[in-house]
Amino acid sequence: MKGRPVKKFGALWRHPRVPIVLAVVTVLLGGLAAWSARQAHTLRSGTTAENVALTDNARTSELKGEVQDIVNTVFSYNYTDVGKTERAAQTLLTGKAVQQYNEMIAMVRKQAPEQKLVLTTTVTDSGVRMLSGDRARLLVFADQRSTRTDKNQTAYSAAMFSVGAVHRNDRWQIENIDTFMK
Amino acid sequence: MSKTDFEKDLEVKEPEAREPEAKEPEAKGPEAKGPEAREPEAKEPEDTAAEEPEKAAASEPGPQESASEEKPEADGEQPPDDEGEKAEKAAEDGKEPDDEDGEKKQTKKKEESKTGERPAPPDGKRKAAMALAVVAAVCAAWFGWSWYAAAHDDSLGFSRERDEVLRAGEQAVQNLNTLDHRSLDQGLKLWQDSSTSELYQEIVQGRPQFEKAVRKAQTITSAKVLDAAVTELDQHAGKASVIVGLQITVTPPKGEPAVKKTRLMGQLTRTSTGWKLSALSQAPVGGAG
Repeated sequence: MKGRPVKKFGALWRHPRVPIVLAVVTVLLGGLAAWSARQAHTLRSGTTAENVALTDNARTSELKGEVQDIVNTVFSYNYTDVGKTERAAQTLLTGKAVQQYNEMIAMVRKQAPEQKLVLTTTVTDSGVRMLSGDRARLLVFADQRSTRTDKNQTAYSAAMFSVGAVHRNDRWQIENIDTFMK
Repeated sequence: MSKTDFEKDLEVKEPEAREPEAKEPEAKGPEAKGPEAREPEAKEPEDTAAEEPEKAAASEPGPQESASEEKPEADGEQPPDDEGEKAEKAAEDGKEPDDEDGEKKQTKKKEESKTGERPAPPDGKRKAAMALAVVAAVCAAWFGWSWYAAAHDDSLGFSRERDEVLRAGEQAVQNLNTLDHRSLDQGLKLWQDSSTSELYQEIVQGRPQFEKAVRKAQTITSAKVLDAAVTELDQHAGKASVIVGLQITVTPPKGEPAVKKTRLMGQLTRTSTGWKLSALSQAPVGGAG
């Protein structure tokens, strides 16, 4: 009954070219598999995929919020309580940012007591350029209001900086501040 | 290689590893057939029947003929094939598959003498090749799916679009802050190409006046993006916002170039020819609050 189709298969199976055909098919399929794997890997690794800025809304918001708080805190200076800002800077900044910050704030630190200076920094806008793992980079726009209480003068200035942040001990710290001065 | 060596090899090696040695039986003829390969004769009728087509195939020339010793293992792997070949054999002999042992053995002996010194059935190798092909097919299917899934991953798609917005935004902002009075037409065409909707209208409407002013001032303006970030992206609506830190250098015909840094906020809209700026303005400076 089933003799005929089976015989056909048998004849096909014994065809001298079967191993060659199988070899070619194997090589082609293997190549296809390798190529697909590579494509998938390229799509899933790479900087685009690893950067979750805006993709992961919760983390992006958390990062923006924390960096905004840090900038507002460390760049706000009240001549009556200098220690408060400096203590905050100790914990909110890390690595290179400590030195960068000290250079940036040196002038203010010197003038603050005699000018009775009150410096208030407010982040007006920020964007996350990169957020990958425990590292991030942001562009921050901020306004700085400095008031010389000795003369009752207030000046506004615009600031922008590129900030590198690192996530440690369950919070973000700033590890690099680029004010585009070079 | 002596016969005993060969047989030892057969005993210790894996079927795949035996392939090189498998050629030996071809040259040596029936003697080369090791005890393992002869085993089927003593076995069930299915085995003897199954050996027939393999021997027939073995008489064909080509490198694939080998592996007589693989047969017992291969039989274990794929019994359905034996079944099929048994049926086939039976069909040839005009008998039902479940024939007597004796008859089968007779037929087998006849076959053996007919095909002569080629007892090596390449079926095992074929099955191995088939198995490899199947493995390759499974791999191809698996990674193909993985690729497809990655290409259609929503979050990956969003990431790609975000990067494209950033790239297009940076380029457009730079274009719109670059102008050379010596190639005004070219520069302003680039402005128009980089913008859409309201911003495009503004540029087109203000163009005659603007051209006059730049020709008079003879300035060369160049821009460099210091940093930029996408602040919003609505894929569905095709709208996005970026902030850009830009350094602009204006070179007058005489005197020193003036360098300034500005903070810009841009809106982008997706068009048929990519993301384009639909609004661009300076970030307001404090005092307002």
